This record gives sequence, C-alpha cells and structure tokens, in this order.
Amino acid sequence: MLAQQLLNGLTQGSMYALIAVGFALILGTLKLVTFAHGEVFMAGAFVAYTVVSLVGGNLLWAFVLAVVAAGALGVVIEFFGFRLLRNAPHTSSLLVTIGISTIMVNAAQLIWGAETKTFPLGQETGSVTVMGLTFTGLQLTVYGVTLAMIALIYVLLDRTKVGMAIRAAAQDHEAAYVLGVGINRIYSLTFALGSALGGLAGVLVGLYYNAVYPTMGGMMGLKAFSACILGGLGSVPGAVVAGLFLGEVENLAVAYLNAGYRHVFSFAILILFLLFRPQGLFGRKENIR
Amino acid sequence: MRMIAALATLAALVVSPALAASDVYIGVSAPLTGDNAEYGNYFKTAALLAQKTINDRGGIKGQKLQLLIEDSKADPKEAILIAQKFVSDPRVLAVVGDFNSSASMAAAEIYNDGGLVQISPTASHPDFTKKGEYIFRAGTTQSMEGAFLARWAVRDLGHKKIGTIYVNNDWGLVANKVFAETAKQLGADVVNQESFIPGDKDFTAIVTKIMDAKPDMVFLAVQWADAALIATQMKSLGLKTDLMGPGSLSTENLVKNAGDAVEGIRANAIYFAGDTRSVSADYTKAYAATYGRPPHDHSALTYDAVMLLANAIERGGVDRKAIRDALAATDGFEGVTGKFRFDADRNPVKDFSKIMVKNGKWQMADK
Amino acid sequence: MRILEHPLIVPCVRRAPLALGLAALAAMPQIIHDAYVLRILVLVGIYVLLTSSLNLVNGYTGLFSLGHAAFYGVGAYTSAILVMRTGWSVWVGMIAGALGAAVVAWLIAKPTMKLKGVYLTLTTLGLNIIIMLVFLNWVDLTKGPLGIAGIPVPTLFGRRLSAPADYYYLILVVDVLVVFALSRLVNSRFGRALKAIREDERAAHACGIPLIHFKTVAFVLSAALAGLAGSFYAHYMRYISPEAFSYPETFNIVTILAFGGPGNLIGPIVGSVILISATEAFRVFAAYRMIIFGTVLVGTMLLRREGLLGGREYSFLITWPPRKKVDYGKGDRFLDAAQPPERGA
Repeated sequence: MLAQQLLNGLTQGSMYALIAVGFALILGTLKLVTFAHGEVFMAGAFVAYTVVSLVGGNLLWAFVLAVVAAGALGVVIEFFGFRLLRNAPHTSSLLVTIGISTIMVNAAQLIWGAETKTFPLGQETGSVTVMGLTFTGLQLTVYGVTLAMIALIYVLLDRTKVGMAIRAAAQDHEAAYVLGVGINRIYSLTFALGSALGGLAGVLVGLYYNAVYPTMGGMMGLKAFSACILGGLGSVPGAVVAGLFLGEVENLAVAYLNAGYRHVFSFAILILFLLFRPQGLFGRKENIR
Repeated sequence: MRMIAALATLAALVVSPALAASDVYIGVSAPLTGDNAEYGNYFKTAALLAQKTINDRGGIKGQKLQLLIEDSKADPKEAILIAQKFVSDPRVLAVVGDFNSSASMAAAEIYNDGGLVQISPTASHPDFTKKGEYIFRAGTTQSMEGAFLARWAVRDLGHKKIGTIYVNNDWGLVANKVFAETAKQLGADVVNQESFIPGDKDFTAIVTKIMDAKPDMVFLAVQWADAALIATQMKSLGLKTDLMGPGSLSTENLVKNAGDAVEGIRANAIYFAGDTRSVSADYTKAYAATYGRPPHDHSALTYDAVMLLANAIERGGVDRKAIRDALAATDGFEGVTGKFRFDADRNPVKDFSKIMVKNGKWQMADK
Repeated sequence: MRILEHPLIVPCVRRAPLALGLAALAAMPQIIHDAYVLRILVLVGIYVLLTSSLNLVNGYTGLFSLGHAAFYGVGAYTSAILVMRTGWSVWVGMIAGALGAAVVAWLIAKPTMKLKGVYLTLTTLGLNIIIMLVFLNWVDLTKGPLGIAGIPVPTLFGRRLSAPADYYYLILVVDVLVVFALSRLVNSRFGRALKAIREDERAAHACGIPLIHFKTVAFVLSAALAGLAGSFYAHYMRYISPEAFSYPETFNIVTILAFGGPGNLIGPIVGSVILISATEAFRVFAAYRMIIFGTVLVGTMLLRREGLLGGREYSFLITWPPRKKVDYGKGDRFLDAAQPPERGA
C-alpha cells in the first residue's frame, strides 16, 4: 500500500509541479505574485476541451491551441497587471490579478456553463503493471510531459540568448536594461511562457481527471504558490521538487491520517517554511517586492 | 373626509380588477453564479420548464404563473437578502430554494417569520424543515435514503464488509453517517469511512487506502461527477468491488463520463429517466427537447417543487397562509419524482426505486 | 454670522454635519420601512466593520494581510459555540468572539509579523485556508459542514432583538463606536507610528519605533474587530457554516477596502456602501455581476490605484471658521491632514 500511495503522490505531485513551473518562471523574473495563474490553467483546459469537442479527438491541436491561448492570456495579464503598474506598489498588481481571476472564472461560466465538462474521448489509455504497481497511459504521459517541460525550460534558460536575457532581467532588471535587454519584451515573453506552461498543465490535469470546470484553477493556483515558495521563490527546479514533495505529503497525510486535512498539510508546510526558511528549499535570499 | 373615502373606493375599484387578473408570482432563489452555479442552472431550467408547462395548460386558475429568479451564489448572506426581498414583495406567494443547506437554513428564519412558504428541492440538512411551519422540502432527506440503501446493501445484497467515501459537506456527512450506522446495526462491518473536501479531484489516495481493507462494497455519498472520477480511478488502480450510492448518482451523465467503470453500480432513484408514468415521461421528453440535454434529479425536484406550489395555490387560493396549509395537506400529488405527501415535519414521504447500471444504461435493478 | 464664530459655538458648528449625518442614519428605519433595504444596510454595516478593521493593518500599517476572513470566522464560531453551550448572554459572546479572534491573531502574529511583503501575504492566506479547514473538520466542536443552526438572538432589557431594524441599530452603534475609536487611535502617537512604518519601515525603526511590537498590536486589534463582526454575523444570520469564512470572503473584504481607499477612515465606509449596494442593484445582471465586480477592482487599480478616497486623510469635522488656503509646501504627506497647522500660522 505504501508503494501505491507513493506512486499516487508522484502523479499528484507532477500536476503540482507542472503548474508551479510556469508560476515560478513568472515569479522569479517579474517578482510578481499573480493570483490569476490558476485561471490561466483553467482557460487552457477549456480551450483544449472546446477544440476536442469541435474538431474531434485530435489531441495535438488541442494542446497547441491551448498553449497558444494561455500564452496570449499571459501577455494580457502582464499588460494590465504589471506593465501599467510598473511603478505602483506591489499590492496593486496583486489586486489586479485577483480581479482578473474573478473575471475569468465568471466569464468561463458564461461561455461554457458551470457544469463539469469531460473530454469526449475513449476511456481506455491502456495500463502497464510493474512490480505490482499499475501505471495508466495518462499517468505516464503526465510524467513524460513534466520531465520534457523541465528539460525544455532548462535548455531555454540556460542555453539560449533569450534565456540569458530572462535570467539577466530576473537578477537585475536595471542592469539588464542598460546592457540592451528589451525589458518590456522580456517580461511579456516570460509571462507568456509561464502562462503557456500553466495552460499546458491545465490540459493535462483536465485530461487526467477528465474534468474541466470553471473553478478548477482555484486550489491548483494556490498549490502552485505553495510549491513555488517551498522551492525557493522563482527557482524552477525548486518548484518541481517542491511540487512533487507536496504531492507526496498530501497523499501520505490522506493515507495515514484524514483526507479532510489534506490541504492543511500543504499550507502548514508552506507556513513553516516561510517562518523558518523563507528562501525555500533551493532559493537564494533575495527580495521579492 | 368623505371625498377621500370616495377616492379610495374609486381607486380600489380601479385596482382590484387589475389585481384579480394579475399574474401569480413564485420566487426562485438559486446559485446562478459561483461554485454551485451548475446546480443553480438545473433549478433555473427546470423552474422555467414548469412555468411553461403550467402556462401552456392555462395557468393557475386562469392566471399566468410568473417566476422571479434570483442569484444567491449559494451564499447565506445573499440568500437572506433575497428572502427578505421576497417576503417584502406582496406579489410573491411562495418560494422555491435554495440549493444548499447553509443558504436555505439562513433564509428559512426570514421566510418563516415572514409567513412565506419556502420549499427547497435539495437542502438536506436534517434540521432544515424544523426551522418552522412554512419550511418544506421536495427532496427526501439523507436519513431516509441512507437507511434505505443500507438495508438494500446488507439485507438484500448480503454485503458484510463495506467501505464508504463521502464528500465533506452537510449532505455527504449525513448521508454517510446514516448509511454507516444502519449498516452496522444490520450486522455489516463498515471498514473505512473516508471523506474529502468538496473540489478535490484526486481520489487515488483514498481509494488505495480502501483497497487495503478489501471491502465487498463501497458506498459513495458523493455527487455524480465525483462518483465518475472515483469509479474511474478505482478501475485504474485495479479495485474491483460493488458500488452503491444515493439518488445523486442516478444520471446518464455518470455513465457517459465513467463508461464501464460504473457498470453494475447501484443507486436508489429519486428521479428515474426510464420512469413510464406519463407525468415523468412527459417531463423527461420536454426537458431534453427544450435544453438539449438529459435532466438531472435536481431539476426534477425543482420541477416538482414548482408544480407542488402551483397545485397548492390552486387548492388554497392566492394567500400565503392558505398556500402553506394546502401544501402541508398535499396527499398523493403525482410528481416527476413520485407521489408526494408530507410528514409532520414537512418532509416528503416517498418510495424509492432501485436502479443499477446494466450494459451502460440505468435500468431497474433485479435485486 | 459672527455668532457662529463665537468660541463656544465653533466646536458645535464643526461637528454639525457629523451630527446631522448620524441623526439621518439613526432616523433611517423610521423613514424606510422596507425590511429588504434595512437588511442591505445591515450587511453594509458588517462590511464597514470588516473593512475598517482590515484598514488598520492593510491601510495604516502598510502590511498586506490576506487572512481577515479567518478572524471573522473565529469570532463567529467562538461566540456561537460559547453562547449555545453555556447559555450565557449574547453580549458576553460578542466580547468573547472579539477576544477569541484576538488570541488567535496574537498566536499567529508572534512568528508572522517578522515577515515582509509577499511572505506575510501568503502566510496569512495559508492560515486563512487552514483555519477554514479546521472549522470544516473539527466536527465535535463546530459541527463541521453541517454548520451551527439556531444561534440565539441578543436580548436587551428583556426584549428580543430580532427585527431588521434592531440589527440595524445594533450594527450602527457598533460601527460608530468603532470608527470613533479608530479615529482616536490613528491620530494618536501609536497611529502615527503605524503610518511611519507604512511610509518607511527603516526610518521608523531608526526613530525608535518597535516594529514587530507595533505591527503585532495593530494586527491583533484588527483581528479583534473582525471577530466582533463575526460574532454579530453569527447572531444575525443565526446559522453559520465554514464556507462563509473561506479565502474568497477575504478577497471580498480586500476588494472593498481597495476600492474605497485604504489609509483613511472614510474610504472603507464609502467602499462598503457603494460596492454592497451595487452588488444588490446588479442582481438583475445575475451572471455578469461578478464580472462587473472584478472589473471594478481592476479598473480601480489602473485608474485610481489609491482607491476612491485613498491617498489622503479626512476629518469627520468640517473646518470652521473658513480658513484662507495656506500653502504648507510639498513633501508633507506624513503630516496629518486631519490636524492642519494652527490657524494663522
């Protein structure tokens, strides 16, 4: 049973990691906490759902369009929540993203209706049993995409010029600007990238649970938060490890204690970290506005 | 002075025919936005359909039925404002709503004090109708359903070792408690009782925990969408066991979402789409034709609630108190969800039918 | 007109509009008999209390707490449970509700007030979720998701206060007392210290203001008032359940404060009046209502980020006798606008 619970935790943790990665990218570069990330995640899932139900079972198109739409949403959020408020106190940005998230949840409700939608796909994805543990095709897909995404982000940040500019902007945006980095463009791009990742996570989570509904982003967005803080503000690998960690902790809490307190554990861990190790697992001590 | 009296008489003469010909108003309080908007929309669509049905057949005693539909967001604060609005509005004769127990119970104080009938299709809190003599419900309580299901599972199906999963809200808590207690009294062993917070979608941890206890049956006190997820996750984790749940599961959506993972699942029917009584069959056809999707038990209950009120107004007349008395005296009213009668606590007394999923369709259960 | 400038008359004239306003508020139930309107006003009153108390932390001290609904809930549950289990008076319950919230806030403040910026925000948000989940899961004490029903109403001189007008007067008195107390507080030495912390924490520290201690006191006071609001809510609604105190409620309070304008005493009042009545008025738009609410928040931040009345302070008293405009220079936003320089200076 323990092994199966750890496996469940791994899957859940991968979901958290997926959504946390995009969040971490935004947080690390723009030093902006966005409360609308969960809603971008939801929007991604809905776009994919719409594509699949209109065009049919071609998942590739669903993924591509969801990612593009989420990225575009990210640009919009960056514009209203950050660019227009560049010199405002951070709380203004926070409040704008809270407002945007309210608008998005209710707009989704108007457009798609409030009831839980399911992808009109077949039920079977096949499953593999290894040493008594069952892996479904979807589970493997989730692991695969998570890994691919981490690799992609790593390559992008570490091996490309754009990545270098993003890192420069994250470290010191003024110095980067002086050295010729188009800060506005980089911020826009980072937000688009982070949001696109959020949208991708939305599609995967929507597919995995086969449930897409307007309020699906709420708790997930907050979990992304926790994972980010836990991993060290803005640290992408940190967010992944912390996401997996949270998934495991929650599943073990359910397994050996009470499922009602599942979320208490992830937020209690978050608070303990904030109090005793605010830089998280991997973060450096730096100031977030 | 006489002048004023004359004017008043004149005014009364002018106004009263208008009043006599005026429409009959029923209020609807439901969450049209927010987390429970899905259910609020079942309320709204069903209430509108009931309105159409009534007006198409000539209204209530020749008067047109009008609905005042208000969005409560399932929030008690909003619900009491709506309640006050309806109580203060002399046109409103009775109210259908709200969806959840917290909104319904907070509002019940005001409806009861204001002497306005409140009938909730779905509020399941055991104390809801005890708020006063104006408070009714159209849905059966969880204590009735839970006990019925426990007898079915233990006595008829012979299950000895039962696990339960319930959603941690007022509805799930009571459903699970009554089921588990009755099952224990009947001699079954209730091995696990697992709850989850509304909104959770990952049940693998709970399912794995239950698998460990190897029950013959798992009782699901959850809404259909969660039941679909639980069944699917059970299947992928390789847990094969009988499943049973309350009337919330008895919708085609469950089968559509979960496919063969719910083959063999049993439930009691509050509303059953295959019901052949004409009132029920007509409703099922009309709902699907109007909204392009199959009805849900919440919409059936809301439809019945509006119809019950219309029936009570027909018998009692256009007076809040008379409507209450007529409603309380309802006996043998043919609703979509069965024959209605109210007990002393204004809860409906109804029979359940036993249904199960066979070959991917809800059908009458053989046992 | 000279008589109005008599030294004994001047204070009366300065207070006249305030007195008139209060009289109008007191007369409201005599003019408006519509219980529905009165209930909206009661709701406004609850939010005035909630936003004014949050204002102490988020407006005056410059922290950004996102956990206010938790203290609101602790107050509601403490009062409801205490009164129902012991049979004590509702008034004792209300005091206990405020104290209960204060104690919880104090326990939380001990470690969290050291945190800065977004760390504090996220910790308070996490605590809000945790406290809500405790309400939900501690079934023996709180009845969990079933909620607590049949909470008693207050009695005064043997009369049960249960009509909307009774609640209206009760919340009016509470609000007036609280706003009055806050106006004394924010213009006291302590209040000026809080504003100093908001404007520049390091400078305030250098001036010898004990940062953590003052922040803690502000946080605890704010929580106590939220607890009082919660206790009122419990005895007014007569039914409470955990979801009323979840983080979306905090977002509502924060939105109203941000819209009205933090950092002064009138902003929260105006924000509550406008947004609560607008939400009621927009009821006809049903599905669009929350979209409008969100748009108002975004619009406020983009067009007037200090909120409708933010950015300066106001006095409840008018200036009398009228004074010639004195230019007291720029850069004095730390000066208390409610206390202009001596006349003729």
